[in-house]
Amino acid sequence: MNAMGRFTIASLRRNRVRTLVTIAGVALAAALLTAVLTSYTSLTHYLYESEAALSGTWTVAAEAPDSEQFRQQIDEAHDTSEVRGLATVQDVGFAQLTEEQQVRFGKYLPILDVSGEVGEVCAIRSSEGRMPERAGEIMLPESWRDRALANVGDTLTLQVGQRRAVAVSAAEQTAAASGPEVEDELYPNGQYGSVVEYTHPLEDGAILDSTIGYLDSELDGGRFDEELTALRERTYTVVGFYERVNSVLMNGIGPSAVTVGDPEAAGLMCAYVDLTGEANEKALVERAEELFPEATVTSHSTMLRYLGIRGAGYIWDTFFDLAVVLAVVIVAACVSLIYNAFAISVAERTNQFGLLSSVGASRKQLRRAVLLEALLVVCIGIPLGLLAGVGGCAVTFAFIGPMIAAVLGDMGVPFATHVEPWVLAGASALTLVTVLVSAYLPAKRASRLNIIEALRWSQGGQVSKRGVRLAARNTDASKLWKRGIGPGRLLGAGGMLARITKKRGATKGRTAAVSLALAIALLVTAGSLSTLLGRLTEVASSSIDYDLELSVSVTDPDKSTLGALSSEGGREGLMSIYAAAAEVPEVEQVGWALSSFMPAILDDAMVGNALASSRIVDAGRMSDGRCAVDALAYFLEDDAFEAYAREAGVDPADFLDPTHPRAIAVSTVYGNDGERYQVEEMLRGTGSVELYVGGTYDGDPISGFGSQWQAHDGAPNSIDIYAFVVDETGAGVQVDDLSDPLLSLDTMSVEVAALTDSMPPIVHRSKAVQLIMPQALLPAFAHASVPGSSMAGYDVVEGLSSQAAEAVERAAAERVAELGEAEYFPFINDYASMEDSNNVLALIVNVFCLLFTVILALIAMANVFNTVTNSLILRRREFAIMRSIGLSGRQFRRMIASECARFAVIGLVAGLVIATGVSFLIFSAVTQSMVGLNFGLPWNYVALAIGMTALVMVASVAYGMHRCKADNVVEALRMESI
Amino acid sequence: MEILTVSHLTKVYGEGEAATRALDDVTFSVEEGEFIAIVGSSGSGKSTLLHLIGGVDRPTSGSVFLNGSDVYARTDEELAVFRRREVGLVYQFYNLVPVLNVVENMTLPVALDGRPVNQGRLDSLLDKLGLRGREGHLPSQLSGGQQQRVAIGRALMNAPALILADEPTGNLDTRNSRDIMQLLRDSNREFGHTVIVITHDEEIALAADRIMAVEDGRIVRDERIR
Repeated sequence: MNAMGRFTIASLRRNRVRTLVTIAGVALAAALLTAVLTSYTSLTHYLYESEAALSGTWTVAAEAPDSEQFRQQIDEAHDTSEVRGLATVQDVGFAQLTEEQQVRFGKYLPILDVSGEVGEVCAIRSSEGRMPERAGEIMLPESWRDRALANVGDTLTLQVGQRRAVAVSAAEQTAAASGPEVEDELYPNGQYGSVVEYTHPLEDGAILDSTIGYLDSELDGGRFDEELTALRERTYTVVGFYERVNSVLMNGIGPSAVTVGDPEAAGLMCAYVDLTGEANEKALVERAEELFPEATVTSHSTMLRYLGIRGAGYIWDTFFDLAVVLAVVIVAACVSLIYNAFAISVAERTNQFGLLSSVGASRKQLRRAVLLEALLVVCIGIPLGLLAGVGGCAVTFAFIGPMIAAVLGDMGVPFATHVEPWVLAGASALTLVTVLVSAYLPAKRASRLNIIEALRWSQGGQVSKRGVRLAARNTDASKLWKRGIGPGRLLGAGGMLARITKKRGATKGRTAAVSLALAIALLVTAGSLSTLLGRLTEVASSSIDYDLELSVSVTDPDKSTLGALSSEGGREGLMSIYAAAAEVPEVEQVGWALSSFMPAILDDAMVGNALASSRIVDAGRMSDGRCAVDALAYFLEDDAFEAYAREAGVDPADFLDPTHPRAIAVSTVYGNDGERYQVEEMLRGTGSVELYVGGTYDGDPISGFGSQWQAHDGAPNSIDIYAFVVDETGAGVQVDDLSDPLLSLDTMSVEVAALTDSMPPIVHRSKAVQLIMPQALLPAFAHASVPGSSMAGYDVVEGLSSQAAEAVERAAAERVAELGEAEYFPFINDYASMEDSNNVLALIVNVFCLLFTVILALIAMANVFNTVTNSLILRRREFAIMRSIGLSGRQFRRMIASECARFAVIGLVAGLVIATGVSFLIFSAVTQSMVGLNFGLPWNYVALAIGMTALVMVASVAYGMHRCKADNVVEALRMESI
Repeated sequence: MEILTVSHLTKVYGEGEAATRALDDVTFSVEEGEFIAIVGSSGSGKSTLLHLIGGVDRPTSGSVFLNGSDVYARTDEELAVFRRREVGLVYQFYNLVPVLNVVENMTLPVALDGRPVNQGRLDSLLDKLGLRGREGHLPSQLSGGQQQRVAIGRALMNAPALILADEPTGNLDTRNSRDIMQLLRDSNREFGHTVIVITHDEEIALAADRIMAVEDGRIVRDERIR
């Protein structure tokens, strides 16, 4: 090692604290970059693996009618180097299902013939038994086994035919009908990708393939029905079942059966190709179209996204925007930390450089010395950082990986740390470049100084040009040391010295102010992120008091009107189902209630802010000027109502007279008023409410009401109510004009006798005016033709909600079966499990925010410590001079305090400005997908940031002053004198 | 009248085997108005002696009495006040505050003491030091000789009992050296300041009233030549 090398190492050793802080900074920077990138690759990898497990690895699919040419193209594609895998799936036909089977599986069972790498490429795998291996073998969805319709080894005889379109009216045979919309993919977690719209020029008698949904002119309003023709009996041996129905297996008709080598397969053919080698979705699709010129090509956009291939018009979503903002923040933080560390190191040694060049070191040698220092720091810092980053991810994901997997929809793929070589290389390279630039720039500046300037550097800091002018003016003895107010006066001579230093110094305090600003900005950014993400999870989580909800609907519309349900006999069936469910030992019934949705006209005296402004609730004035809004009437069990009424401070006995119905209304509404989520007053007084409960139109009963709400600028919002009627032919009619002479409206006046802002335990908050009544009032609604519904809530022992849900569902289903006709449809909502998964999500979000905040805080604080400490240590000689001529310890402390206060204020202001900007960017990213958040700084984090920064600053100053005082004046004076 | 009494002053740097005895049981006294030159080779301990007298450092043992009061019985705060009022220090490397101009540097001890600046004294010092017209200059705009004159001005501004100069001409050419010595000499004669100058310049030493030679931390010679 040459003399410069030894010199460099010696200087690193001598400044042990600064060297360690620098190495720590480099390591932190590398660790943070590695962690962010590794989190990203781990997530992408997980999503890729999940998607591969669910839908297969195919990236494009080419669909065309069977032809020799298409088969040849498929064979050729197989040998193409960009094709990593290929599988073909072909329609064999559609098997007629029995009535019983149709209820569960739809009209037909589509049979698909598969070949090629279907397991990998299309994720068609057996969950029980095996895949079909020869002709005549078939694999079915697991639901067939679960419904005891088939078992492995069974022989299945099916009537298989082709679907044919049948025009409803001959005159419209040739008219092109817009075909049903076909989703090109099914996604896990309920996300949907692009929806491709097909327009099939359907003709009477056209053969329908599996991409076209079931045609039923009555249901879809189209011009075609369909029939199954050319039926032939086929016999298959069931060899296995598959668990997950993916987009390949689910087509327009239903989940498919899978066979191989079927001699009669001649229908639509689809080649699923794992095609690679293109950078974007468009190019990939074009390449596929080259391979299969006749085919319709679709892409697996979800997969492409996970592969990092984006569509041309793909909008950056919230996630990506956030990642970019965070990455920029992190890089900025790291660059600043490293740059400051080196700038200080070089500044501190500028006079040494002068000395070295005076004894003959060339500029190149000087620069090399700094670069050597940088490389030494990097050699220790980067491996440490990579290790810490990957290790941190590994530890974090070991703990929360299963939760993330659960939240993202468990596909049986573990969420594990996935380290890509490019991540390590990238993080290292970025850190290395940052360090080299950070080291090189100050080194270059230092080596440009001429020897004398460099030597003089030791005489203290530099004076700015403005400083020279200011100094030249301040010579009048009578004014000397007298100017200055504020800190100068308050802190005496020390404060005055600080003021002069600040005014005349070229750079003093600037780096420290920058690092402070950055610290504030970083912490507030982390806070904004945490706060916004926290708000997101909060909004996502529900506020329902009970754990399970069972709602039973009556399938016959005539028997499900509020009127029908209001009779004892009408709701008998429902009550027996709820009673049966309440007997499940794991649960405790909170209660059950009937409810009904209808328009309500309010007295003006009742109209509260939320209704008047219509910011949260869609309310408005009807053409006659009265205020209309949706109302939700709840009929509680009488006991439950009694308790509720007492809680509201009214006598329950007043509410039991069906000839004079009275209700308690919920006076407040929770919702978004366009700025923020908040509770607003919906009703401001009691009064009478007119409810539209039914009526007739031309003799047919009104089956419900709807409303058309219109917001006006300035003028009051308007609302138009219309009625629905189903005529004798079964066709629906909408009556917009309520003054139509054929219309006979049935309205009912209900007195709102009390207002409360608490909800009965069984009632959810809603944006309708909620009227709570006891079931004793139901006779008053016997004529109501609007639909009624019912539900019950149950509390569950913690952790047992999914078992309890199953048990309740079973009990309800058994009771429904006992009641005979399939007249009731029970439905379970497992709020407890949803709440759990929301809590898990919140936990994950919090863990990430915490890690992010802690790491950013460490970087920020290391930076502050580095700059503040060194800005003091660099001036130790200057301080020694002042102390030697009588600056007392007290004056010294005041001077430093005054200087620090100045740059702290500058740093604080600048930091808040930057923080506001970055927070706003994060806010913008989040509001792309969320409405109703209002922008604000997270003041608790601002306070935390200021507190932490102040604390670290005090510690840094204390350390710096300790260092300055530790060496006695004599040594400090002598030290840098060359 | 005795202004300064140094008794059994010892200063040890470092500990254990690495300990160096910079001053070893030094005892002497100085009469008011004396002009003393301390000579010795480098590392002999003469600068340490000066700093201990000036209250910049603390001795390992022994004591220093200035005007009858024990310098090192003071707290650090009192010592700082002592330095700005009782002694004026002049260094080889001037040690001016870089951001302060000539008059500010000169009046800094007054300011630190919180007292008003005596305009007459400042003017007469500026004239005497030849710094007229350079009042607003910063140290970086001055030559070495001018900087040293500012340093002397700063030392004299508070009219201290004792002026201590550590190789004040070590960095200057012959002409400037002679000027600086003349200034010190004048302050001694005109204002009656007691001056102690460290030097290894024989010619400068011979201008003093009394020469003390220090070697290995001890006074090996102490003679009054006037």
